[in-house]
Amino acid sequence: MAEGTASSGFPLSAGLRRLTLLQISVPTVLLVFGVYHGFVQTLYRAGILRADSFLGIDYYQGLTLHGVINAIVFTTLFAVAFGNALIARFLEREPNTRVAWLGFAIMLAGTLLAAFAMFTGRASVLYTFYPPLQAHASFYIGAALLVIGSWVGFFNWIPVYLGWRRQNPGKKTPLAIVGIFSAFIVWLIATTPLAYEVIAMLIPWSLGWIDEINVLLARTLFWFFGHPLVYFWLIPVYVMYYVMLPRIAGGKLFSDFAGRLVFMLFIVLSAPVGLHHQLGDPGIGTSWKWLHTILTFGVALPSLITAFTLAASLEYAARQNGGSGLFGWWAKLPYLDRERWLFAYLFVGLVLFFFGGITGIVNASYSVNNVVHNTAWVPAHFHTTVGGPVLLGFTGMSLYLVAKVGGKSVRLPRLNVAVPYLWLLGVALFSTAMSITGVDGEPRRTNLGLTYTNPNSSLFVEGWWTLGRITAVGGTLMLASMVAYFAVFFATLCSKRRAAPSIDFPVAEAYHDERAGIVENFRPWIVVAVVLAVVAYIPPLYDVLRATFSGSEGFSPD
Amino acid sequence: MDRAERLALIVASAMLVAFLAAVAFAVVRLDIGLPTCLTSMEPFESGEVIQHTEDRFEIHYLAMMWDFEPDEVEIPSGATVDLYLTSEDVLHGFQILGTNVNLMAVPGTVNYARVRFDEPGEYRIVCHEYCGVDHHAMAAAIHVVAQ
Amino acid sequence: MSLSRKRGFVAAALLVVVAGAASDARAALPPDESRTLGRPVADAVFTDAQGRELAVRSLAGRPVVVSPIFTRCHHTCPTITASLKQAVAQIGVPGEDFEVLSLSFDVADTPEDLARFRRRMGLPEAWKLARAGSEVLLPFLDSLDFRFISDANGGFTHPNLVVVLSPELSVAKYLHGTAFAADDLRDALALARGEGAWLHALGPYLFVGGALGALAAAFAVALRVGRPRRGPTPRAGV
Repeated sequence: MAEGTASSGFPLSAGLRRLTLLQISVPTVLLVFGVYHGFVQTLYRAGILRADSFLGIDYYQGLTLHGVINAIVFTTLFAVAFGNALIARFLEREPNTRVAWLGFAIMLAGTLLAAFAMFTGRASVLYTFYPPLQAHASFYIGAALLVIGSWVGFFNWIPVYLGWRRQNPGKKTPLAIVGIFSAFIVWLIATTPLAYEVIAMLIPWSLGWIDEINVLLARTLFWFFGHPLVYFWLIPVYVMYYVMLPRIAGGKLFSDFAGRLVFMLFIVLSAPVGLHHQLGDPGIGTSWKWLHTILTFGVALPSLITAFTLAASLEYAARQNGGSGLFGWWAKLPYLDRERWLFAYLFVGLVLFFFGGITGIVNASYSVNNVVHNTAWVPAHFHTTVGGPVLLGFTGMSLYLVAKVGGKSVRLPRLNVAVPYLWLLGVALFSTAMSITGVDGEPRRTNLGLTYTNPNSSLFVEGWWTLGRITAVGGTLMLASMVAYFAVFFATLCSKRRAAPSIDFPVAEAYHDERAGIVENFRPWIVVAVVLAVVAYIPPLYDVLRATFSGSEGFSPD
Repeated sequence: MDRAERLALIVASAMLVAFLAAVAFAVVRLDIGLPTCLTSMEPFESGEVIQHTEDRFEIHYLAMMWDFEPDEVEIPSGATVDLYLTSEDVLHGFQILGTNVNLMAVPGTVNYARVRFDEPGEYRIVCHEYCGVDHHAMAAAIHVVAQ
Repeated sequence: MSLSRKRGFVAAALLVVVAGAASDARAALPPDESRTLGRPVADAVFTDAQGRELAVRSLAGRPVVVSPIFTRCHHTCPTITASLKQAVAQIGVPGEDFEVLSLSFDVADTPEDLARFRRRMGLPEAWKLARAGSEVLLPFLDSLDFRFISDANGGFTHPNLVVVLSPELSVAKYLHGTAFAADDLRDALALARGEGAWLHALGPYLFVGGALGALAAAFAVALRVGRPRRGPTPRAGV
């Protein structure tokens, strides 16, 4: 693995080292279940499994596990662990170990509570947990604890950062720190309405303290959270892309300013866009749907800037490696380099995200959304975003951290470098097939095997059944990729220590290293973000309240 | 800022503006819109088909676990239908395959779309929001007969 | 709290209020005015309260105030009609200065129902009342983009509004709500006659310009508020 720049490595205290290893391993173990339930779903959807349940787990229960573990638990636990490591390495001071442990303990408690509810079939409400389907209170309490624990983790970094600013006047904040802070600022803004939904509405309602809640209000608050959530997943990967990828490829980051600008734009534009998940909802005026559409197009801008900056950075690296020609330089990147394996993880993530970005713009395009809303197109899309750069970035970095922090070398290197390519192949088949059936109207999160892809059912649709086979092949390849990853991860985790544990990352120098200027401080961007979120959400919330005639009692999924 | 970078930024912005313009065109010229906020329509408690003229219909769809009311409707081709949708229990989805109608049924509120059925045939309605253990069996149909 | 910070909050609060008010203007199934304003209404022949034919075409030459109602309506239609009657009395004579037409969108309404409605509301003879069957009614209402919903009790949910047509019978102005100020109606009629149309045409641009200006001002203030103050010692920004 590429060594870092001059300051090579920050020695971690035993406390933080143990915490990091645990906080990476626990979500990885959970991910085993999450991945399994993802795979089984492709069998249900293809009509290969035509049943309500398989091996004791109901379809919708498994779907809940798949979504909650993969999208919420795994990502949140990892992001905090990654942040701890970034703080220690780039600010050269550890966050308070006790507080970090406390945050992890709260998140773990929340995870276990929610896992109890899900595994015992008391919370088959999917990861969006839309009321009035009602789950056991422990599910909502678990979710709340998970979020609160992540806040504790974040707040723990702030004194370290402020201390660093005091000691380094006039110095630019390291780009990685700007990135991880922007991820958690986005998270903090996003989880505030979620906390209201869960703590003020869902928990008392599920405990029977209040009888009825406003369903559309809960849904709107959820999507206030739900879209910034994807940037909370994505920004840590952008940190890897901006700070590490160019260096691993053997080059420099094309523009330091671009990176800072992108992170700040995410802070501003992540939140006021959630209505593009509710374009088909009643009770929200079309003006506000249109406003959120425009702002969603705005939040595509940082990703387009990133596409340019990363392509330019990779081109620079490839030319340093001896590449030439208009396109010939593409051949000179370390695609299969077993030493620099993280390149493959990050690069394949980028390839998938190219398609994720395009399909995402389709989803947000106002009435075009009528064609794809809640169809198989949507999971096809997000398996190229959260299932693309985010999954590969997070798993790759998990492996990297476990190796570095544990002082181990990565085992099964040949298999390891194949993981992202196998994943790419699987997702390509999976998402292509689901995009086609999705445009044709195949619903998402539906046990198709019992009806739509069951030749004995009156609802049978032949086209969905045929393409379902390709989805299942894709799902099998994705499973194979993840099995390979787990083998590498756990083999590495359980191997003997070979080097002194420390924390270090490959860090790219900037090719254009301009003054940070307006992107130096978070504060103005946070102010604009809050103003924009309030302005974009007050009128639709007002609409929602006027359009709702009656509250809803809870309903059990069965 | 680097020249290539500035150019990329301009191209990216122009692209987004062009996409938005295309969407605006679809809304204004092709009349493909989205449901808006209905504040004076109380949710109804039963499904209904109301025929105003030979080619004008009003259908009130009531979604419930796990059925739509009415579940089979027959109308002549060329008919314009005002669709109203609500749910008596949980969230449901409502997509008429082969049309631009894709709505959410939210309890306590009423959703609306206007659609014209030009081509005869069977239009299937799929519930596309998870609504409980029999969600995958929740469907309905509109039969459009040649006129 | 510094002055500039206070200003920031005020600007933000104002924006919220403006946005909220804009949202309030929409009622049930509001007509899409961009599709109807300036367009001619559909030609139709209705039946009036005496059972005679009433052609829309025959109303041309004066601005027309069209008020969609139904006679069994308990809530808003009588309120709309009473308010319109009061406003009309203050600004002119129906049948001379302009035409007023209360049009029933309930096909069950008969001429007798309309006559009863006239007596009940105390409407002058020159105030026209009309009904029609669906085949005639719906194309006309479509040209106003007036949409109503049948409810379970045989009543309707409908937007509360009156439409003012130009003397050439194209849609000139919608007045929303259940109460109409005489001044608003007078302005609408003037607009329908073509007076001050250019000012009216400028309105949306002024509004958009103003809104963008307010937004820009709010951001400028917000950025100012957020900028760390410069002091003798470099201060850590957050």
